[in-house]
Amino acid sequence: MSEPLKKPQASGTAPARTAKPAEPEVQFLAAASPHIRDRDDIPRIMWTVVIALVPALLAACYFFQWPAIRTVLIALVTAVLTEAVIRKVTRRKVTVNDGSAVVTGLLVAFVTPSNAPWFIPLIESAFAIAVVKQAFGGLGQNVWNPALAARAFAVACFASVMTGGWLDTPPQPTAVPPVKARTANWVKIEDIPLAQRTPEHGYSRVDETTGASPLSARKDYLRKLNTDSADRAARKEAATTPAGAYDLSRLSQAEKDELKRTLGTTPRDTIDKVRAANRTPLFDLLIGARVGCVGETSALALLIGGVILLATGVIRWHITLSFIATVAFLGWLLPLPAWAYDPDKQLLTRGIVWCAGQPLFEILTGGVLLGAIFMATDPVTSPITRTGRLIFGFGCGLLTVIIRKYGGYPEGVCYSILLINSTVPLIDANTRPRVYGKKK
Amino acid sequence: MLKTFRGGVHPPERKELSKDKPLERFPAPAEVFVYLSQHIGAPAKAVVKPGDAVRKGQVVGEPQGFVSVPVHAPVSGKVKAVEPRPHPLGQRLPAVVIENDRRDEWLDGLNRERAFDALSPEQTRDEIRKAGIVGLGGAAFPAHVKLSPIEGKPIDHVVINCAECEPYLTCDYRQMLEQTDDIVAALKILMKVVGAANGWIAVESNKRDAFEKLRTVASGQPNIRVELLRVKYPQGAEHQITTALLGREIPSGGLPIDVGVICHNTGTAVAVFDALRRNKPLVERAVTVTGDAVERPANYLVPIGTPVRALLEDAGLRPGARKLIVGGPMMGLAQYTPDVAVTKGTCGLLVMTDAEAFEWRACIRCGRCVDACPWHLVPSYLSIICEAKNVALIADSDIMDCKECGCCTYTCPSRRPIVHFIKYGKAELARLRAEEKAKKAQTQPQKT
Repeated sequence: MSEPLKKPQASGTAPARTAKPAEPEVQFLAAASPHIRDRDDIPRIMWTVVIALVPALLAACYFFQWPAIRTVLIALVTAVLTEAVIRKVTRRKVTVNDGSAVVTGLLVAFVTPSNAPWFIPLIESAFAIAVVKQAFGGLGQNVWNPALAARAFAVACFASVMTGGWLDTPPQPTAVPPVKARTANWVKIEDIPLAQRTPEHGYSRVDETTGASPLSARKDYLRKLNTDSADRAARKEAATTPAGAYDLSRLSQAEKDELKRTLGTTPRDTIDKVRAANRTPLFDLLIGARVGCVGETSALALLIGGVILLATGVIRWHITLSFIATVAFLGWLLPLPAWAYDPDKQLLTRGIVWCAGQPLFEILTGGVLLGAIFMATDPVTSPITRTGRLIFGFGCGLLTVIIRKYGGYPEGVCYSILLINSTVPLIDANTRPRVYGKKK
Repeated sequence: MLKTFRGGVHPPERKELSKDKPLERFPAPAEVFVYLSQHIGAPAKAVVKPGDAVRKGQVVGEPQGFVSVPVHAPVSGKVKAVEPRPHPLGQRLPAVVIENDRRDEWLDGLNRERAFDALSPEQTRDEIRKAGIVGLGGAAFPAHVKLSPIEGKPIDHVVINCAECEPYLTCDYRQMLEQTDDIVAALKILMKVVGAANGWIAVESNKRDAFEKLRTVASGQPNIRVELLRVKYPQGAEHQITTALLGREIPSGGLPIDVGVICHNTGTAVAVFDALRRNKPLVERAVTVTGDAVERPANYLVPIGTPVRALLEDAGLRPGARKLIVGGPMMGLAQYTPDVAVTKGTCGLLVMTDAEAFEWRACIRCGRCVDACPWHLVPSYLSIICEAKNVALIADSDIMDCKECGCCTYTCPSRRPIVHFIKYGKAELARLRAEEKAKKAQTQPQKT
């Protein structure tokens, strides 16, 4: 056989063509094409996501301080340990260094309220990794978003803590007045005498330390108005007019004044009044000075993270944009029931108000930005085609708005994403791109 | 806005290693071996035996069937053997081994200028066939077959493919700069042969100087347009060039001729011109020897049958050379041995130090492959069903539309060897079809 190919000398001089004594043969690796790869691999993508989450993490540490840091640490460590232990115990390769457990841990922490007791992020994180991810086969195989499924599990198990029912627990200092210059606007509810407290106090920027989030406060306020009005309409003193309104002339003056103050003369007016009662400034919503879960409050920080992800190609714009646009549009469009009180005729009427939502408020409160940028865009649980992604984003936005307006919970992002996750195989099967050269 | 197609990837071009090296003639070494299998279609049949003296350009292998061209001796000398030798495709295939007498003597009548304008299209096609010309872009399809008319499929566009979209390769580019007149002349010939009214030369925008030169040379020709296309892999694929240039889509399983187009590679055009004008059969081709493990990257005019070993020794290998690729990095064939020879389809020899055997993970459904696939398939799905060896799903899928261009595998962050899975899936499908066919033949009684 021919002599082995001479191994090149380290000095780099050209080997002569005369015969040389046999040197070690160069071993060439034969493998299928292509022989080059793009730079991005899984660890790189995951660590880019972690970097994109850092602004929101910093905002959380600033606004929620130690409770947030504690939540993040517990969730993170639990996620990584759970994954390592399960992979080891099931005798599969330990894949912790691909960074996906770190991302899951961070996201679990981000959807947990900061003053939740230590075992909440622990249980959530363990559930997310063990049940939602590893039980389905590990990376790439899960159907539902692990962090959101874990949150749904925690809400089912520990409802009061998770949905802001911490109003029932003794107030704990969980937030600091965010911007020193605005401290003047902060008033503790306890400092307002009982007689002077109005329902709006639960809906405005008075002492967000123990208040409800702007989203839940708004829903509760409107629901209370509607419930109270319905109660009044149902009472004996109220008489139904032929037009379907309620004659309240026999109610006490105090009640009629109360109605005049809180309700508008038309249902649309009432909604306007509800909107005006919200005194959470836009600035606070943007920087994150509001009640919420660890990672969802700071719109700016999340948007910075979103820009990082888009710029590095880790996410595409389709899901995020269609989700946010749908929430904004349908949040504005879809109707709300509202009562109205005409003080001159002393009539109470009921109506449906369309096109009266606040698009900006919808987007900046709750978990829309966190969901649209970090949760819904999880590649494993979202469609694989561009059209599919637009549909997915739209579906998530639609369900979010429906749950927010008509459902039991003030926030719908978590459940909407989980529900649409279930439909992803269906979406994928029906949005296959048209193959080049084929008709359909 | 430059014309382009949907999909594709843009790997680092790395053409700077060799793009400024003019073509140099590589002297044939003491021994060359020319495979009888040089192209798609039936291999040639040897018409020489050990001991025969041969002259340069002499036919050593006769074509078998219509989709076949003759094989010629690239050097003058003596036939040493007709035996199997390692072939770039991986198997050992029969080759005519010729001992070079270094006298470089052409067969009488060859390599001589002649007039060819009077030749009819049929005669021109025959000259092209006799010269053993195949597509030099890598697929090596017999050129005369591509130029043969098909009933009901008139051709109105002839495209010379000057895209050279594979990274690293610069042989076409050098020919575009140094043999510009031949390329334009060849285009005119090809247009006449198929009766097409429109001629195109498509160049990627990373070869601006070649584009300008071609445009200058072609400026006198009324029906020839030189067009710039966006740099993207695989712009040089027939489907993508047809769609980008003309907006026409080749039907699945079809060819460009189905939409009235034929495409020829730059090197093929030069070979056609050489064959007609200088009565030169295809005995040499432009090859780029390059890669980060090569001391002296260069563009050579290499005799067909030159052992790759000789080229590598001349170019010098650096320490750490780990992968030897015949072709480009996206679709080239990795070799386990340097004891193969240059074929008519060898565009480049790429030696790389980076030969990581990638460990792959599960598909994370990121969708990059879907965005990258120039044929708009869903490579992630194909890779999963092929990895699972689910032949029923494979049979139902669009796998046969996959051209194994490698865009999907290039972008996959899970490092999944998608092309490898697809090749396996296609083989399984072929096996299934063969079994079905055999079963059908068994159940049907033989017709007497």
